[in-house]
Parts: sequence; structure tokens; C-alpha cells
Amino acid sequence: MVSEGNPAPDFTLHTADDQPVSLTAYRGRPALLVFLRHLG
Amino acid sequence: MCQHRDELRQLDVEVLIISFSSRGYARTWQKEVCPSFPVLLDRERTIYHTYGLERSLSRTWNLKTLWRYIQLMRAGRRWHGIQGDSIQLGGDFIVDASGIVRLAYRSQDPTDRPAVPDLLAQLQQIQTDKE
Repeated sequence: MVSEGNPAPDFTLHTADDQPVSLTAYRGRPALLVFLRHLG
Repeated sequence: MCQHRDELRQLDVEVLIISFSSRGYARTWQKEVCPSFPVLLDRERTIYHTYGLERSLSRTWNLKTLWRYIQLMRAGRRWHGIQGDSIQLGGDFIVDASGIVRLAYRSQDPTDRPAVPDLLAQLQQIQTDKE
């Protein structure tokens, strides 16, 4: 399981406009990942 | 979070919002609720699973959650019905500039999120540690 102090698993997801985004693209800056529940 | 765009920019933090919603609904949500940050789509919830985010009926649907939704609607948020898996829980993770997880916050129920000031303080600390 992902835990503090360990490397964050990389991923590539697409935006709502179908642009690919990879976590490693932001290496060199901190990133805040906000996982939402359903959008209601 | 969306209201703190300027503070996050000052800290040079990239905010990535991740959802399992449909593309069309994510666009609507982004436009209405949070246009400042990109919304990334994880329809199969593969990344949710990788990051250890759970599903729970009992922790998701209870009076506390219903009250939170009532408060949001009273504050003007439009209700669009349930989009996707209603028992999937969320969470917040901070990844530092080296790719190391500095915060792994897995929500225990829908109202459980870290306070934004606490997130900002942790991000500020990460920036301070870097200097």
C-alpha cells in the first residue's frame, strides 16, 4: 500500500479534454493529489 | 481547495483532482465547482485502488453524510444525482518534488478530509525543507 516516506506510484490519466497527464511530469515540484468521491 | 488557488500557486504546488466520473460530467463539475485545477479521469478506479482508497457502504451512507450534502446544497451547490460508485471513498496525497509520498490521507467517510490549512502548512513545510 502507498505509504508516507515511500515513492508515489506513477500513473498516466487523461483529463476531461482527453489530454494525458503523468505524475512524473511534475517531478521537481510538489503535487497534491485529490481523489474525489462521486461527483454529485 | 479551489478557493486556495493563489496560496497553492505561491507554493508552486501542482494540484491534480482525480475522479472516476464520466468525461462529460467531469467537465460540468470542473466548470461549476473548480475550474482552477485539472480533473483527471480514472473510470476503472485503477489508481484509486493503487493508492489504497476503499469502498464502504456503511461508512459512506449515514446521517453525517446526508447532513453534509444538505449543507452543500444550502450553500448553493447543485445536486446532479449520484455519478458513479456512491460508496467509493476519496483521499488526499502529497507527493514531494522527489516523488516521495509525504501525506497519505485516506478518508474514513465522505466528510473526512484534511483541513485545507493543514494541507497548506504541510506543503509550506515541504518547501522550507527543500531550501
